[in-house]
Amino acid sequence: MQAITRLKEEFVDPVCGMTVDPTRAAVTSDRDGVRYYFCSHGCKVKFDAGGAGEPTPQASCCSPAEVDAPQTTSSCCGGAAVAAPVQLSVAGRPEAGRVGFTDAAPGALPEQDVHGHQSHVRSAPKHEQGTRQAGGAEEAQEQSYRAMMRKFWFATAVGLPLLLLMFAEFVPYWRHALMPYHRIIGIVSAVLTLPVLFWSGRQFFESAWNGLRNHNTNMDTLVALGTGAAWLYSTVAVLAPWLFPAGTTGMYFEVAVIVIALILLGQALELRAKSRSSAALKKLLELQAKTARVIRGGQELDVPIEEVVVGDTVLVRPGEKVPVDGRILEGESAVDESIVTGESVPVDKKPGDEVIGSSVNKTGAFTFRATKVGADTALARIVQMVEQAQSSKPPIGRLVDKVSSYFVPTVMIVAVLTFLAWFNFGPEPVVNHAVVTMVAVLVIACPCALGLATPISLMVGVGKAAEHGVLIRNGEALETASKLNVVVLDKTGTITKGKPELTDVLPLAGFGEEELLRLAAVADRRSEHPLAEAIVNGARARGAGLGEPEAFVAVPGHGVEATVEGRRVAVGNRKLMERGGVPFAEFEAGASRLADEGKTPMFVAVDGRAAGIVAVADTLKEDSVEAVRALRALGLDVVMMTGDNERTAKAIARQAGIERVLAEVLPEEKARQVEKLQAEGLPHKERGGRGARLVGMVGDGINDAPALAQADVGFAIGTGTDVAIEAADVTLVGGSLHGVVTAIEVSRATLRNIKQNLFGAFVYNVLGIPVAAGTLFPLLGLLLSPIIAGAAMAASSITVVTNANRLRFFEPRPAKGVRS
Amino acid sequence: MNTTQIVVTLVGLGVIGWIIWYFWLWKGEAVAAGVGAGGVQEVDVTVRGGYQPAAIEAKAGQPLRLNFTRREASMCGEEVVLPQFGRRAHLPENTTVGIEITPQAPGEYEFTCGMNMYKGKLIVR
Repeated sequence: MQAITRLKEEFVDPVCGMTVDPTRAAVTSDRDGVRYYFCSHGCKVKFDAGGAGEPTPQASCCSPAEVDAPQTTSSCCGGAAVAAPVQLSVAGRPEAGRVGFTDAAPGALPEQDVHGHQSHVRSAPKHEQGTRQAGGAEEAQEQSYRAMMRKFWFATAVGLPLLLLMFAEFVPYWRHALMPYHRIIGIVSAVLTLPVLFWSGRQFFESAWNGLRNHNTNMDTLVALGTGAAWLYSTVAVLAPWLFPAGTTGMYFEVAVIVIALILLGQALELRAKSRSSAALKKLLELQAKTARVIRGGQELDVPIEEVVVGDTVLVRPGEKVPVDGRILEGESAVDESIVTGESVPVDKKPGDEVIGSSVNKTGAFTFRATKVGADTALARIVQMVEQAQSSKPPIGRLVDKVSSYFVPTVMIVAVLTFLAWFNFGPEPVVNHAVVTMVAVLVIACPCALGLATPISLMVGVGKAAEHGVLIRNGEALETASKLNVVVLDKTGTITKGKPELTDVLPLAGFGEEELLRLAAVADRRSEHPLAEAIVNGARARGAGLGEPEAFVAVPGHGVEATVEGRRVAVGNRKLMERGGVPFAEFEAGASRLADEGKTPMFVAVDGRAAGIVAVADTLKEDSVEAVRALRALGLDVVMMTGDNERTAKAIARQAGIERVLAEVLPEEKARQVEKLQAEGLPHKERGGRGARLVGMVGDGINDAPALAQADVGFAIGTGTDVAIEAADVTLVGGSLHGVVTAIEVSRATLRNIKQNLFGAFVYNVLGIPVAAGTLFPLLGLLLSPIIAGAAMAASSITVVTNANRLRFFEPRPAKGVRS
Repeated sequence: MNTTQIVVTLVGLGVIGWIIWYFWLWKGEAVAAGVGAGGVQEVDVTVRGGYQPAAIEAKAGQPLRLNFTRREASMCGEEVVLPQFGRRAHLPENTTVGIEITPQAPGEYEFTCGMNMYKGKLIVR
């Protein structure tokens, strides 16, 4: 979480675990460049006596019975129980200093890996604070909302009768009837409206005053000036009418209170809508498990998630949430990782596989070893990354920033000029007209709509992308992604699965398909070569029962030879066949076709005779074809880049539906190729601007880092817990190419939304302010009531927020490919 | 134009001149960040109609904690954004919220409210 609610800086006594206020710490000790604070001399003595050893809870100032372990709740020396979070971070370097606990028996020692930093600052894990803070913020928002509504109702209760009185003035009978009481009504109105200004409108006046003292202006300045001017003018007109020319005075008390009521209502509704805008993030935070079942000392213990430490063995039963990130030790299951990857189909997990915290275990029970906890988990990092993106500003917002910093003073100046124009050149009663138009200008101008236009859409858009497993680093990446012309796809691991699979079994005369595959697979069983592994796995998947080979020999660079079922079997490349004197002519036709298809043929000879070919290939991911089609439908040129030879590359490209292939590109040349594509673009000048084409590069984030950095937008395909890849502008958590489509679609939708908001906000102000100033009066005799101006102002910011919230209903086009 | 009109016009123009000077041309003084425990630079910033102090001087390469306390009911200051650092924080009223950053390169960085109305400046040397 970005904002850390301030916690008083406290340090943990490494001996007893008690929290210590550094300003009151009795004693300190320095070891390895780290300063430790102690609750008492006794602890320091024990710590120092420990020499190079680790501090131990047993060597505590407390009685040993008081020390529970692994202990994260410390109640030392009769002190109140203090939740001492597991992760202790050095200020500004949360990753640097960490105190964890091993998963050993009760009484385990704190395991420290503080790297020479100066102090242990006690603070809760960032993520935990984030959750707490999100809850606190929600409550605060609810309170603000209720307070605003109370003030709104009060202002309305006072304002409505005044408004009726104002309307009564238009009815001749009532005007005559009320005439003798005009002054009394005015005085009563002035008194009645004061509490509205002081209570309901207090925040506007206070904020305006505070701003004024700081040489700052804001929306409240305008509201305060507008309503204040209306009230003050009306009061002076009632109390000292002789100051104005006869017949030129008017009363605008109802304007002051109704405008305050409307703006309060607008802000209250805006608050509600805003809290919906950040719903995506809240949803992520709420979805984490609250407790974990850890196995310590052979016993199952339910502990709060904050107390799980790296190295803990955690048990997860079907239907439960995986509490933290880790690697499966025992058991198999299908796990729904949609919270992180956006992919709703559960993923099969077996020992050694990674599991992601907050994913849902579907079928079987398993135990796993916790590898990442607290702020390091994939979910915590996703939340952190999304938040950072939401705080950034896309280039499109820069103009608004310039405008909004000059906005309020400019409106004040326009209001003064309006007053002067009406006062000097307007029709009688000039003072009334001048005041009404000035107040209308102040009240109609809405810097909020402008200021909200970009960030609110960005917040919703980035959150929406994250829901679908697409992490957009910042506003600039989002804006550029929406304008891309070309998408370059790395082949291996991006379009394809990145590991070879058995694709074809072509027996020659005298051999059956099943027999050929069985013989080849058994011969390959002891080989560690990935191609051999693919054949063995493929045979198993086709239900072949595999025996053990005899007299197995691996021939490096060629293949394997072994005796299977009493027959001498050789599996390998052409060189192996030639080496064994196997006539190659029979293989030729099949080999050539397979190579054309981008597959790697492995030749099988049995007892010196050509038996057939088994082929392996790196196959397409299930949804690659659909993703490429979708990218093209979005108007993008799709290019494949690979280090493979042209024949294989073209075969894969053909299957994926890609026309343009850059083959045999060395890893270090990838960035240069991206640069070339960027420079190609004159025909796309109108889309990309600056005469260049905007190129997105999709790769695995590690080997492709330079190309990802060179591209206008780098998309890294991440899998499992490896999210938030540094070189990438966009990280596709789900590992599917379809994420690129989602990223571009979300970016385009968000940018379109921002443009709508900006257009609406600019047009509103550009038209509204002159109308309020009375420019329509000479032509149409129309003058805008400040009440209508106030309503328009309140509506404009609600409109912007509501329009941004439409993005919440955005759904990317579904991938049609069949997924495993 | 009669005398009243001339006087009112002159007053109006004077007000315009004052607005330009007071809100646009006035420059505040920067406050240097103090160094606290663990070498962390620290500044308390009050959010009340703007940021006090609105200009903060800090050293490059050292962690800096900005403790924001919003002391107003107005919603304007409810969010603070440090765009160059990718940080955004909600500021509940009367609660201190610390944001820790480590400015690496010297230069001027801004912090603003969510709508870019309140402006503060971080001068890193």
